[in-house]
Amino acid sequence: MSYGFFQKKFLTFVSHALSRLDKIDMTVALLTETGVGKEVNRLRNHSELGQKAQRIVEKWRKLASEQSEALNAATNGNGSINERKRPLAEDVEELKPTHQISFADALKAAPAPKKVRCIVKEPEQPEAPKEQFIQKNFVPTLPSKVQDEQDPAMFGLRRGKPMRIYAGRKQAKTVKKVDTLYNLAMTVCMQNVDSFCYGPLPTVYSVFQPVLARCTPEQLDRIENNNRHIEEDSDPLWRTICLKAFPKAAKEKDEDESWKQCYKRLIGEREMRLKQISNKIKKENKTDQQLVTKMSDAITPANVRRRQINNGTVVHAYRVPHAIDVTKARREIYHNGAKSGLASIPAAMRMGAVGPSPSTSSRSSSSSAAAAASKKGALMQKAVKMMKSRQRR
Amino acid sequence: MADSSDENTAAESEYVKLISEDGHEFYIKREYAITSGTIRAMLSGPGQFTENENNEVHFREIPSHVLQKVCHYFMYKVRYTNSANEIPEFTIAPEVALELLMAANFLDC
Repeated sequence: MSYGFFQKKFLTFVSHALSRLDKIDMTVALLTETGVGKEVNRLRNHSELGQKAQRIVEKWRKLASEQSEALNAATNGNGSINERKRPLAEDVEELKPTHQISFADALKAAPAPKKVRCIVKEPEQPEAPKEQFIQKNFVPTLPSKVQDEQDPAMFGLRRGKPMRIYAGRKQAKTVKKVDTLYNLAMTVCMQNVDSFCYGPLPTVYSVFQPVLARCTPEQLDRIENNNRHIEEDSDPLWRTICLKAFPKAAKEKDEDESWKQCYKRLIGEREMRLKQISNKIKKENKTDQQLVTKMSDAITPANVRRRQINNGTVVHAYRVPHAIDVTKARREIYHNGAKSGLASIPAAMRMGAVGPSPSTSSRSSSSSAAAAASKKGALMQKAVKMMKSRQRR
Repeated sequence: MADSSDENTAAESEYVKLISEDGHEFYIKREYAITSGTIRAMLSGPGQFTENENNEVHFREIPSHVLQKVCHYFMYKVRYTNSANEIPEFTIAPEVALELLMAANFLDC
């Protein structure tokens, strides 16, 4: 049953119903009781039935206004027309026996209509209530419910059920076209090739071929291990794989071997080369690590040393003392006096050999000044020699 | 049984019977079954086959869980072909996919 079919049925049914309604002698009582006027009015904007519906509604409106005018005339206009339209319990009860009784009689039976009715929202009615229905620029002053019906967007909504609003994107996956079962199953197989690797395949090669074309070489190998019969036919597949991985393989392939064997061989060769290169690199890295820097003490070069000995200005190249030793010496001197402390001064600092070292205390320098005087500095010795040589001349 | 076979031998009965390898019988409407080209040929063939006479087709290679999915596909196809609405996805479990592929290949659908 297609949607179009139902639409057609709906149309014929409704148009038939409309024709029936047309023929009925409508009264205000019937209209208010059944609310049929409202329902027909909802169809006013329908593409095919709109015209008919509008006609019928117009006719009823006229009728209703005429009848209520008659009513108003009878009761001196106490009740307003809109009140009559509402299916109020009291009115319905009284007017139930339909159009056979004249309205005047019915009115006599009914109680006097009260001025205050339950419709609170309704504003003051204009002076010409008759024209209110026929006017085209009728401003809806009725409650919003009626306004909904006149709104074309609301046509077709079922009353009582709230309109559903969804936020967010549509979750269900939709397709554009119905695909063949073969294609659908093929897609799913391709997505799940892995699961086929571990068991025997119940198929012939030809059926499965498109899926196999999309396998990785490892998967293809595994599938072939499980299904020997596929090997016979899979040569073209291996050819594509081989050429993709090794573009030059076309030349390297032997006559007797199949593409699969060719591929395996080339893979093996590649692995070998990789291993060799990585071994080389490892070796080179090792040698680099054996270089160690050594710190050596300051040694006077050979020629300078000779000159020093000749001149008598040998300078002792003592090792640079550790900071710890220096600190110990200073403490010694501070606590125990210069004499004992002097012994613990590292050799480099003693005698003031390389000039006054900044770490020696003033006391030690002054106490060793006398000692230093006897042992002259290099420059002093040279100067003395010069003087002597001058004096000799 | 004689009565039912008489009914079945009517030229264009509304329902056809598909029998799987393990004996499950699927009654589906003829218009759905002829989605498959193979079944259509079987049922409307030159008239010498038993399928044609009884309006039933025996599939000796297709297991029942696969044939069931095939019937679902027939309904899906007929329902959504030339439909203006959105077409939902036809889901296939991966376990069935392989056998379904073979069946679809055989049935040409």
